[in-house]
Amino acid sequence: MKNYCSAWRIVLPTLLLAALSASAAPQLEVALGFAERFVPGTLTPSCVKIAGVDTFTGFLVLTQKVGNPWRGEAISRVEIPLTLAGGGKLERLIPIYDFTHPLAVSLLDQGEKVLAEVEIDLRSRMREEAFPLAVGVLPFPFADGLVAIDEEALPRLWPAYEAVSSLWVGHTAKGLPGNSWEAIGRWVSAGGTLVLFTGEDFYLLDSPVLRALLPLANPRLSLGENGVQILRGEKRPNVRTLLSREGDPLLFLRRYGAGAVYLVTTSAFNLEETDFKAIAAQITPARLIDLTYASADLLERTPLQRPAYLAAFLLVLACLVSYSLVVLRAKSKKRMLVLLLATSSILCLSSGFYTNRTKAVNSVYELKTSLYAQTSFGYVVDYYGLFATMDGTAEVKVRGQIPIIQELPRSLQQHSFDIDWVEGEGASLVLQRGERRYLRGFGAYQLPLAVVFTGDEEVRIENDLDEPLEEALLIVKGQAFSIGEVRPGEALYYLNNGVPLADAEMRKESFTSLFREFAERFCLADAVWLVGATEEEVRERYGTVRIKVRDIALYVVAGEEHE
Amino acid sequence: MNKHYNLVDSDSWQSFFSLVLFCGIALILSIPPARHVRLFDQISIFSGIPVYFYTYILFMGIIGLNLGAISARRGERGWMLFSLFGERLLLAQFLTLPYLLFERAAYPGKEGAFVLIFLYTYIVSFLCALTSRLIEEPTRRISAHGFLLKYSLFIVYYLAPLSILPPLSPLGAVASLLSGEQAGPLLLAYATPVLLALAILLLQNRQLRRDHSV
Repeated sequence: MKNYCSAWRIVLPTLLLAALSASAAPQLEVALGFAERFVPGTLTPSCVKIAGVDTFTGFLVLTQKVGNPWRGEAISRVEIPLTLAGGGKLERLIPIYDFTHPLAVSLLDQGEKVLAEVEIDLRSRMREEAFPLAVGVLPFPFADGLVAIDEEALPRLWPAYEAVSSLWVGHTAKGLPGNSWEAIGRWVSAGGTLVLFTGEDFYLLDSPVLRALLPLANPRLSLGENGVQILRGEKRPNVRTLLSREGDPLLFLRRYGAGAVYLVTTSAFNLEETDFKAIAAQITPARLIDLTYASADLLERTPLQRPAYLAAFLLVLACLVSYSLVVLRAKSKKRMLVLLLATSSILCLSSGFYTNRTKAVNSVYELKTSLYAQTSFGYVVDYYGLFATMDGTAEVKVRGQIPIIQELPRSLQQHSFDIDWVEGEGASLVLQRGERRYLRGFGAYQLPLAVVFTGDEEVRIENDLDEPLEEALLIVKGQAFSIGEVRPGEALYYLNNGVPLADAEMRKESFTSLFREFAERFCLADAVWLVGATEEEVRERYGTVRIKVRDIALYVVAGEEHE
Repeated sequence: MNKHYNLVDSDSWQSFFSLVLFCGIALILSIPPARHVRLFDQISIFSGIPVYFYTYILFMGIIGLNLGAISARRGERGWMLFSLFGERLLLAQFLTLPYLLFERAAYPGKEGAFVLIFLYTYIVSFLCALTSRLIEEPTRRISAHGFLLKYSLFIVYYLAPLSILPPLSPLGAVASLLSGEQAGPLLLAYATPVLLALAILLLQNRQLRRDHSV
């Protein structure tokens, strides 16, 4: 008996300690996508809850294996540095490329020791294409593959909506959160499709963002012919009535930026199923603005820096002629040696001066094209095109907390498509000689540019950017006016010699090709727009890897009209 | 010091001229031909091949063989022999130094590798000069056998290791140095010509002693 007691004295505290340490072990809980649905090749919203830690400094690492032995394989790794006090919740966008392998989420301490790890099965959550998303309550399932979420679950970052083909806002208890509205506004302006059911639900949804998006100005509720509340107001320019019911307009369409806002003038609960089907038939799916083709074309046209053949030929000729002359003409052997050394030294100097930074071959060429668009909401979309002239590692700098996503080809066999992204530092990837790689990045951005069209022939522009816009166009109701350079500060610009928007050109070919691809998708026909562009070239060096970065930015700003 | 001990004369100048000419041609060929990204894949005769450095190491080896033969013919010996080898080979490298500086533009950020290649080339060409001298010494005139033997050894040394252990071959070693490989292959690359040169020096010493005793 005494022996048993002494054994328990040891076992009990051990068990207690083990239980305590188990309860203190960090735990991870991960929610992914919209109601656990995602589309491969998009930035997917994720919410990671970390519990069981006191004060913690370390990293959250999300790793995904992409592909299979036949297609080839690659690894995508996202690292988020963390400092937590008593656990926390982390909402981020993460690139998900594939569904065949699970997503591994690990919590690492500063010594890279794994404290907690979970694996998330992606196969069961995958959707092949963008899906319609319903928020709030809708009486009928109007489309196949519809995903419904609560308004609180709406992502706060606009690139998350890339997986959504149309967003349907029905009856909500408290309206939508303000930052979700901002994200929706940016997404619509970048090519999203928003369907709004209003009627008696309008005032629940009402917000400054909604008013900016609405096809109707000064909206108000009134009773319709059939006794239901109908939203009425003054139609904005370029708004079309798509459906009517009993003499009252039922569905309005407004092109907003590159996207569309569909306004149903009554509540979803006042509609029949046939009405829903009729509305659903009118909706065009979202298509985000995309400058990939223009950017890829610009990358192909990027000049490669190298020393000139003529210079090399002249150097060889100079060496042969000068050395031969010295050997033939020098009278003494000692003088010959001195002259040879002197000639070689002069040629060394010339050669060294010629092959300066502007003649050196670059390891990687990076073409970054950024689209800054500012309507009521500002956002930026970056396209990165990388080309390697030799093997090496390219570092891509990415602003903000949103990772970049790379375009993956069907076959991953030829090169390594591994990509590492560290929040706050950027992405690093390995490129092989002759390889091209394309990536996209997104962000929210408030452009410090204001445009006021004060009359027929003049416009006031306030440019608070650090740099001038190299070239700018002012577009007034479908007519484009070249206004040249827009310097920082406030100035008046005078408009003359307008051309139709379709014929508008910019001085630089690169600006024109980006502008044309942009104008095809973005509605510039109504109102006043300022389109400006800048180009900058910088050289960066990471160890032995030299990168020449060509940064082209296209700025598009909606202007105000004061007659 | 007699008049034969000149750094440059008509015999050796031919070798120097060939070196400058062929390295010059290689320099021109080593410039990447494509002017734009889209043309990069289409025009690629020597793309990815360090054509200049291959030519440089090849012709520095040949110049070493020639200088060894000249030295044997003239009967240069003792420490003066090594000193003249060293100085002539250094002169050869100095004559091609403008090319090396020009080539820097094609391999930016690899200046360290350039210094290592410069040093390595010097050791290899010294080894070639010693080998040539050892082979030509007994005849002291141009012999077909000596010529065939030394060039056969030269080809074997440059080409044979490429398929087994590339850093053992000067061509493979240059490629390794340029690609910035691990320390192991680089040590191997340097150790091979140094050890071979020491072995030849030992052999040469024995030969000289045998000649004296005879």
